Amino acid sequence: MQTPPSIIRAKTIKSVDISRMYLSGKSTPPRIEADSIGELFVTDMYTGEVRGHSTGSDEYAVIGSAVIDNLYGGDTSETDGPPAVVRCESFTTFDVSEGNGGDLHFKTIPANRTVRIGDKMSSQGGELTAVYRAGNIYVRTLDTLHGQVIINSDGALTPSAAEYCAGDVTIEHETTDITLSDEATTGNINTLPEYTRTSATVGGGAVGLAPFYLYDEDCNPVSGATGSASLLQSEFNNFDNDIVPTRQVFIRFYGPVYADTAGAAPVDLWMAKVLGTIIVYTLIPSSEYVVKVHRPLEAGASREIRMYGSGNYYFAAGEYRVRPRLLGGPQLYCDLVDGSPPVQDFDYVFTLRYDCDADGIEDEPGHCDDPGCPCPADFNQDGGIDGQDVEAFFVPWQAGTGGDANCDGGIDGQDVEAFFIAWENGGC
Amino acid sequence: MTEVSQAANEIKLYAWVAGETRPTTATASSNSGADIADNTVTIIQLIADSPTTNSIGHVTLRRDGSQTTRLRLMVAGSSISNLFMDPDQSMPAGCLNWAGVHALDIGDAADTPGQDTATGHALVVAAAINGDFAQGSSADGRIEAGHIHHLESQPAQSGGGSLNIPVWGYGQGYGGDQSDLHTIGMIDMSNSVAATVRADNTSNVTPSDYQDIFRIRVGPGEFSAGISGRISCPKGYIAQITSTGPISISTTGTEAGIQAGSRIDYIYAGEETGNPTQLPTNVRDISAKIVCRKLNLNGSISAGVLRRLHTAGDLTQPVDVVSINAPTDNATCAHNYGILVGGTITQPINVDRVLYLAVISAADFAPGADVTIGRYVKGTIEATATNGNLRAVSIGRGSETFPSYHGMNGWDGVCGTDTDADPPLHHSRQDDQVR
Repeated sequence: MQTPPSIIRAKTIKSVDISRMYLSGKSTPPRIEADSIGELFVTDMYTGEVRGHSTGSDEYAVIGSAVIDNLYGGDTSETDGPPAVVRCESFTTFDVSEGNGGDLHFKTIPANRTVRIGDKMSSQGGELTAVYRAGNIYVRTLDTLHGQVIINSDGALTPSAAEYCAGDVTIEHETTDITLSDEATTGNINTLPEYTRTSATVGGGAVGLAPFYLYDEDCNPVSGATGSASLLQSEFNNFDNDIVPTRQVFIRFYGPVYADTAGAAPVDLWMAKVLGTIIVYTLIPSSEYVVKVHRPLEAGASREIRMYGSGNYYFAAGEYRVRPRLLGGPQLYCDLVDGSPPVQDFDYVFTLRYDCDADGIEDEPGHCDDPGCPCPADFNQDGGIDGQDVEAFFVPWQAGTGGDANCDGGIDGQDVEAFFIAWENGGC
Repeated sequence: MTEVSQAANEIKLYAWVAGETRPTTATASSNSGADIADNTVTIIQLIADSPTTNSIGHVTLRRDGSQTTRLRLMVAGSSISNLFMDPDQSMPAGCLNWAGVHALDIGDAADTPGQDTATGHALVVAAAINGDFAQGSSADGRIEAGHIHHLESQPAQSGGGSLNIPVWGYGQGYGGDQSDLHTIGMIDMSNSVAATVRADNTSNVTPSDYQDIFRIRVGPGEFSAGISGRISCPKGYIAQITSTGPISISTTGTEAGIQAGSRIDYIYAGEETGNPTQLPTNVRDISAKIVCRKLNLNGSISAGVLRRLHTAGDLTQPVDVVSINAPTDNATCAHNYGILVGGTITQPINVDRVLYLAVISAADFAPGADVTIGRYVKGTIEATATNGNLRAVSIGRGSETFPSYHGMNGWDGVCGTDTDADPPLHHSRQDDQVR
């Protein structure tokens, strides 16, 4: 004969709502065992386990929605117990409202699903005076972080990475698991919150500390990419009358983002121009490009924005930067984070390669020049388009001895306009 | 003068003083107004000439004299001449059917029945019959007394074995300051309890004032009709309610089918296996709203423990109690305490305070059969079927503040021998304490 264990157990449980799970003068923690739990609410989980039914197929429970205010490490003023543990096969929503000092085991984190840790990946204190412990998140099937983990979903504006990311996120991976932590790794490949391994290596998902940083390595093209990794002008322009398929720029963050307006661009696009020894950035009117981003009333969440030309504007070859809006207005905000703070300041860089004939093949400078009316942008014919061309243009134009940029036989103000259009576009 | 009226013909009446020898000749054998010209008698025994064919009508009693001196009324065979102190000890039958008894006044006639000083408060009834407790052709049909020590109908022949008239005991219960008797000791019917059984008085609740029911048993036949009468003991405790037939008590509104104040030790439907870890072998439902909650005058709750409810069938009415827990003084192995249902629980289980060293289990819980524990759990809540469902389970969200214990604690996993698991017997008031 045995004393009845402290267990809530069934094949399915519609909902469980418990104020506290703990050990006081006992040795075996309480448990909730079910193959499926519709709703799980626990205020303070000092110890104990939520798991699949002991006679089920495995140790994981399918959970509809989970809200646990605090998971603690088990060691309290009451007793020295094991940490709180949840073993979850799949879920619709999973929120730890405050800190996680326990261990969360997910069979997978499905795409379009988010685990939210409200405060830090650690906990201590509470009514039972729990000892500090850094909590952990485990993804127990090979490379199946398909969805999202958010740390600091309560939205603290200046979270310390060392404090908030004190616990690890470990993803099952071939012979050696991938552990994302705040401890520096070579090249910061696994160092939270700005680890540099791509999301593809863990299953397509990400772990983000709010406010979210730009996930450089996960962008397409990767931020700063040049050469063949970058886009052609013709790919970005999105003109209807060319044969080149439109290619978008994908800018990704470590967590979901959204814009709070239905249509306005939440970011600025700048073009870099080299004028002598300085670089000048020209703001591209937002009407000239399209930004696809998660917007109000849209279902789901997304940690990426997409950009491409509006089809009405000829983007010059050269370097561009995408940044937060300079003058306020609609911004890019962290989604699924309380208070919806703006994302961390970011600077995404992409380059458009020269394809003057819009045939989908990168062209050499001058490839499209008209022999009878050479392109005026490289006015001094030195192979580059820069401030020296401006100076070279105005000297003969002011003297009336040259500068017929539009090749109409006269030298007048229309030549200045023609010159600058070509010059600003970096070519003809 | 002690006067007995409305007994039927062919009935012998003996009256004497407890401790003395029963007279060898009957005091009376007529059916009305038998006047026993002796105020000192304390035992009256009615015996039918033929206990298998002669019935006794409704009896009324009147006595001049002390209101506190017990008057024992026995309907029993001649082989016994005093009450057995053990209420569940069987007695020889004294007649076929009986229409019961009540007192016009024994002591202060100005008081009304049900008060602590009421007429009839000193009356103790014990009856064993071969037929039914039924009104029959009598003008009245009821059993009302301070203490109803023993009612038994376990006939050897077919038929009978039913309690069809209401029973009301209003004397102080066993273990009280003034009583060595249970308010209602033993009701032992082979077929059914179909009328209300009530242990209660109309006085205010005080710590020394409560009534109790020791044991109601229906059976042992497998096909008994079971229990359909209300069982009410709103201030005290009920030790055992067992029935080999279904327990199906219809009530209306907030009325309970089975109600106790301080505690209910045992509700069992089906044939007892003798093994507390096993459910009954026969499937018998329990369909009775069960309430256990002792309210004090100031509105606070002092007790209300359900120890065990077992059935292999369904539990189809709500359970509303203060706590479900094993005894804390002598039970270290408690997995057979609590609510153990072999079928489906179809209505909510509400526990104000604790589920402690106990279980709430059923094969399945139907939609709406939510389980609410207000304060604290150290025990099991389980749907045991392969595809069993639990519905909403809530722990530690009660309105009563209880910061030290709220929630769900762990357990030790090892226990000793449970020496008092089954069946529950007499209790002490200390058992009423709950966490």
